[in-house]
Amino acid sequence: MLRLSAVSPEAARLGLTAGLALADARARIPDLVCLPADPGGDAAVLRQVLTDFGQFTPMAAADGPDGLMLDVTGCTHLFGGEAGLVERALERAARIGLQARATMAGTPQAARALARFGSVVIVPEGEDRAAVRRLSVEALELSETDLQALRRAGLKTVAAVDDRPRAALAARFGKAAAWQVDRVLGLEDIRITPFRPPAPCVVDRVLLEPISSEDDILRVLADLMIEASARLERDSQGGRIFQAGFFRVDGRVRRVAVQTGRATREAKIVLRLFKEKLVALTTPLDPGFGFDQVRLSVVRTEPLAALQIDLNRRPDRAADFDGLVDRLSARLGPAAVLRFEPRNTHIPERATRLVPAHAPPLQRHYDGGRTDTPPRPLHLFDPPQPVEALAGLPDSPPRRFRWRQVQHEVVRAEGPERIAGEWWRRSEPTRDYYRVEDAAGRRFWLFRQGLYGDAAQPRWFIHGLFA
Amino acid sequence: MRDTTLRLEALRRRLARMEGQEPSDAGRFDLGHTHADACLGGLNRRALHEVQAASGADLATADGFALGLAARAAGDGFIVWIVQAMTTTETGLPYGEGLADWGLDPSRMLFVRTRDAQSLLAASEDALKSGAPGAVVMSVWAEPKALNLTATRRLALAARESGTAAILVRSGVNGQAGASETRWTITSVPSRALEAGAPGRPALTARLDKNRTGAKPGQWMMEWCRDGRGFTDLAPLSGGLVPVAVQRPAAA
Repeated sequence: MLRLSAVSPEAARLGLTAGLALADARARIPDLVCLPADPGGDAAVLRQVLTDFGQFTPMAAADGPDGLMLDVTGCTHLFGGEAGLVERALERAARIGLQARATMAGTPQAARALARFGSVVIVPEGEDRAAVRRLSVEALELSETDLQALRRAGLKTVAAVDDRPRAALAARFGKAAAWQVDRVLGLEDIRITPFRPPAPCVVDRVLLEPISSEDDILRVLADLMIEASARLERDSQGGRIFQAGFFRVDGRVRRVAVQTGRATREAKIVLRLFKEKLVALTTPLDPGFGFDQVRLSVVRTEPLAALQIDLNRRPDRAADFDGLVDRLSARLGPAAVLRFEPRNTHIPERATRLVPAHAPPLQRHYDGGRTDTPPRPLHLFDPPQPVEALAGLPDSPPRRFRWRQVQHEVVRAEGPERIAGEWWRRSEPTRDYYRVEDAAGRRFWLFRQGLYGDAAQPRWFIHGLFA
Repeated sequence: MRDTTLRLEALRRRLARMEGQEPSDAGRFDLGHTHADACLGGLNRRALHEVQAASGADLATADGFALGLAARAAGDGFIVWIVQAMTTTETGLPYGEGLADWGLDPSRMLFVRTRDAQSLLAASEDALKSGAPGAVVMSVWAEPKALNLTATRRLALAARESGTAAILVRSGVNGQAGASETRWTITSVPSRALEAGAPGRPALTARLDKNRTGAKPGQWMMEWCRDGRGFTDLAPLSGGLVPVAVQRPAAA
């Protein structure tokens, strides 16, 4: 069942809440505007805001999917005190287009509880406990069953819970719950883990003597790559895109990038890719009077744990395969090295797409043992090629057809398999597919576009070749 | 040269046995076709095999045969299909759904398109040498100059060193000498009809023109069985068609 994952203030005013079934919401407000939830997009925006809020404090971290936690210890005087900082932060959020609430308190958990369940903006020092005690038990953010148990026991506010002995709480709800109560009340402090974007990995080499020969260039790249891989290893990162910048004496800069299928910091692999790429460049690297600076930057990095070398290792075919894809992509271009990706449609030419082998994989798979539809051809013409066909009756397979100036007598045929156009794309007439075999044993996939009796005369096409 | 290969192969098997593994049958793969397998004893995985279409119109069937060989050779390994762009204008692009219906797993295939034969050969050699795929299928268009004896020798060598089967599909019959171990000529033949006159399993005649090791050339009628991922004998049709006799020397 589809549910609302978040609501706008207007919707909230109309009585809608997150978690409500979409059908119920629509029943209440027929002209409700709904957009599909996009957690990935939300996370990306939050990440951007997080980076942006680095201006308030270096100690910033994401807090759940919709919150930020800033440790502003020692930073407030830069913004005119605590009130000034909160005001600036809220103003900043509003300018980005967010509806935000902020609370400043002594501990992260207390601030979180007060921001989400209370209305206090700045808690004076030492009064965290008193402020949090006024909140309802929801602010403890325990599991739903625990909250219900608390409410049934008549404990409706944090104060009521706080007044009970902790040992009894721990005995009933577990130690974690007791700790959680202490944290929310500000009795126990935990520090946040700040988000630190990894420093971009850029290594430079300024050359006293300009270089121009390919060997020299590769040697410099090798040096830079060794340096870069040491830095990547220190940060437990691997590179996905490496870019080399060649600075010419006359001020021109040429940039060449290579991409790898999986994160790597192996100098040898990256160098080999650069070698392939430099050979395959359509406009070759022109050193002119020479390059006096070479810069290697790792444009995209991914976490890559340090690997224990296994001396007794069997050859790793998957890694070999990724290496092969990288090399071929570097040499022939990513548009030439492709893999098949199934799509959720029954229109034949859209059911499979050829995508660059580097593209991130979808989670869909081909189902090999498909039996509900007749077999599909090995080769597909896109777009389909027109043929002249002669059919007996409407809806009967063609008796003969002419394709590429050759007449084919149809001996065996199967069909029609009717494939209607997708209704959301207009102007897609229905197709009737036939699997036919000619006298010589060649097998074709033909279709008739349009139905007899429609305004336009049906036309015949060949869409594929069976083996 | 062949002697050394055989000795190496024997040593590898001995080593494998000493390490407590099954004496792997990595050297050869069969077609699944009883007669052909009995005659050939399987095909060498560490070699180049040529598949040519009897005519331009049989190219799709030749591709099917080559993919069948690749599927048998690769097992559950990756298959890399490297195609000269010109062939795709002639036969269309490979179709994922169709490959799945052929019994292959399209998500374990890599499709590489190259502009000319030269880059096709270079890419193929790289793919073969990497040892990553289980089989490499190459589709060349017409009679490229680049594909001479030296080029086929390089491919055969790369296949032998890495143990990756190399299958070269040609769009037409070619009489040139090459370093391939076997050469097949493929013609499509009428299939055995299903009920209501529908076309049946893909059927073809595979003529073995050249075989550098073992059995003499011969000719078999086969059909491809998707479920078994193998070739089966095409039983003589009830009417109209004369089964092609297996060509065997009188002495055999």
